Amino acid sequence: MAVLLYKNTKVAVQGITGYQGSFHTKKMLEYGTNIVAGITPGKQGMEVEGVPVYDSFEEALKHTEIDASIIFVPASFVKEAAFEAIEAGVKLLVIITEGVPVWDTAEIALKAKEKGVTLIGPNCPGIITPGQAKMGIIPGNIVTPGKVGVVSRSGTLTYEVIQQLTNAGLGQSTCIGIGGDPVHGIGFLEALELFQNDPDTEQIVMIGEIGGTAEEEAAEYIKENITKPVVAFIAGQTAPPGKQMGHAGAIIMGSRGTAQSKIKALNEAGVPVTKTISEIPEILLKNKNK
Amino acid sequence: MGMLYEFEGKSIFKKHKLPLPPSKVVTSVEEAVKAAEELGLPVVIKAQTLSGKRGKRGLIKKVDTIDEVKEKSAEILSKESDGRPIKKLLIEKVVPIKQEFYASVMVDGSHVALLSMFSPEGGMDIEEIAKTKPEKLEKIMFPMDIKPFGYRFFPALKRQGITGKDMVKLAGFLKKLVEIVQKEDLTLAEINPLVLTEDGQYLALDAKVVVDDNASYRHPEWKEFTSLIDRYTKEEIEAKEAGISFVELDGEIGMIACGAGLGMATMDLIKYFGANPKNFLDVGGGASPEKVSKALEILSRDPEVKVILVNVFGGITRGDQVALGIIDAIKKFNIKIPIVVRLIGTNQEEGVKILKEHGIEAYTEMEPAIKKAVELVKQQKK
Repeated sequence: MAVLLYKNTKVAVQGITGYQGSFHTKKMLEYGTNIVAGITPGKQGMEVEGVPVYDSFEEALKHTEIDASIIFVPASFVKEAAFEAIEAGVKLLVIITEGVPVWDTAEIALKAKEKGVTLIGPNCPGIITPGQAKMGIIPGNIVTPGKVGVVSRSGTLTYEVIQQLTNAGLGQSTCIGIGGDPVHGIGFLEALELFQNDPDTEQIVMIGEIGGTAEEEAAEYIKENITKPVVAFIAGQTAPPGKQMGHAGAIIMGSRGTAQSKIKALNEAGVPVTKTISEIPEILLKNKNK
Repeated sequence: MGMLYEFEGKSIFKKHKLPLPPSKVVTSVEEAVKAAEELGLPVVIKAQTLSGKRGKRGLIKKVDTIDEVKEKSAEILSKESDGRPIKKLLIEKVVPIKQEFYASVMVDGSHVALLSMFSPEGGMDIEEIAKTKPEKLEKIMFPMDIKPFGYRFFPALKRQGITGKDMVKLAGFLKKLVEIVQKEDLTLAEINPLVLTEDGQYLALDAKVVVDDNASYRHPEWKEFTSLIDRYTKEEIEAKEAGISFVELDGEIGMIACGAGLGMATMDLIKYFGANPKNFLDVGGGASPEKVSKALEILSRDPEVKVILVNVFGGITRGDQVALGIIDAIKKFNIKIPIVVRLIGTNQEEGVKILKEHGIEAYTEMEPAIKKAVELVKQQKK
């Protein structure tokens, strides 16, 4: 089963003619992703890696159905691209682009919610369902099909964790990089819910970072709703206190937002938080052999 | 996210006609005297810094005479804040205050919401209010795209005993603050204190404003905000210009990673194995040899860096490009500091081969590489 993305999901690539768009289209096709259309305004009639390019969703939809879209366009064009995809009726939207203004993402996230679209990103590595399909930039050669669901706020750190899982013989059901921006699409809660309801997922790995309160909220959620074993890692335990937020930020968070508070909240929810990445597969293997 | 100096934040407030006390920005004692004469005494001299608690640190002074203006402005301009000399002062006319309030609006990202806060106990630390008098702090959550009408604030203001004309005026002020955050690509706007003057005016006496760096392309006016540059060290700016994110810390191991999460995890593991990172450095995805070389150049100039650790998991980043950058830097900058490299992912074999030809054995696993770097630091300490 896995979650959100499957072999037959019909995917469009927005910004397919760009440097990143064309490179990763090739990689996604190689992995087996069912890419049915590319969208770049003004480039209709071209082909990228054998994928037909259209000016707009309206044009593309004359030729094919589209279930999901992935965005590689520059930050200043992301809002327009995302609205076009949402209004065209996609069910899953992945935004890889980094540097999208917070207020643009907010508009996109609210629109996606209104239309019932699952949004992943921006500033994220995307999603991969091993053995089926990928939307994004997670290297296909490090994943392997299996029963561990992975959700992460980070990019390269996710690769690190996945690689170590694969090396330990622990395959993955689906890996989701939710992105590191303050405003983003689906978060830990939604991903945890998806994995909880997925019969193919037996255990869950959650990779968090300092800042915000998403991990604390996930801990609360796990306590009430998640019966599958969860193992967590929090990056940035030694990072200096954030320079980003002023007083008002510090106040609602209080001691929340620090690595210590995240670890405490997760531990209280029965979630082990590992000190090193190599401990993650160790705990998963122990759980598996229980 | 970039925090602005008070006067820069106030310039945004001013654009939206949020009422402010008369003030002038100066950079010298002479200018301070001139500003005080023009505004009329008494005035308040306020250091323009990026960290708070200026009052407690002696960086805000009320003065009644020109002699005092000279003395206090010279005193403040001779001080440092955040490791940098204080270069700018805001000279502000003293207004007769009847009551102080607290008001702020911030983006709560994980809920795609705006959090608006208000308290009739202004002037003191908001953390303090939250702790000691939580009933005096109103927190109102809105979706980020809310239409900020004044009536939305009436219930909170009434709870705090504010009614009639004052309620309407304050609601207007709070509404305006939400509008400013929405329209100006801000993530935080805080006023503490917001004051009611003896003659019935509401004024923003302070301004703490954070702008969203990602939106700078559509705000050419932000180029004038020197706070956005002053917060970085010279090396951090040099790195930023090369597209590298770099934060200096106190430690012995210079660290280079591709990706922020991997960088942070590397720092954590350095500490876990018994040493300290001298920096956080992320060359980003798809780094060129030039970028890697630049990163090494910056780290190798720092005399406190005892070992350099490169941790690369190539997705978009290619191993051969990283290896070429490392070799280039070693030659060009004659680097003698030990370099430990962990290299895996795209074009790993090519990268490992290049490094081997130059006498560097790359690790494929992260933890043994970090342990090795920590060991090298410990050996040097002996």
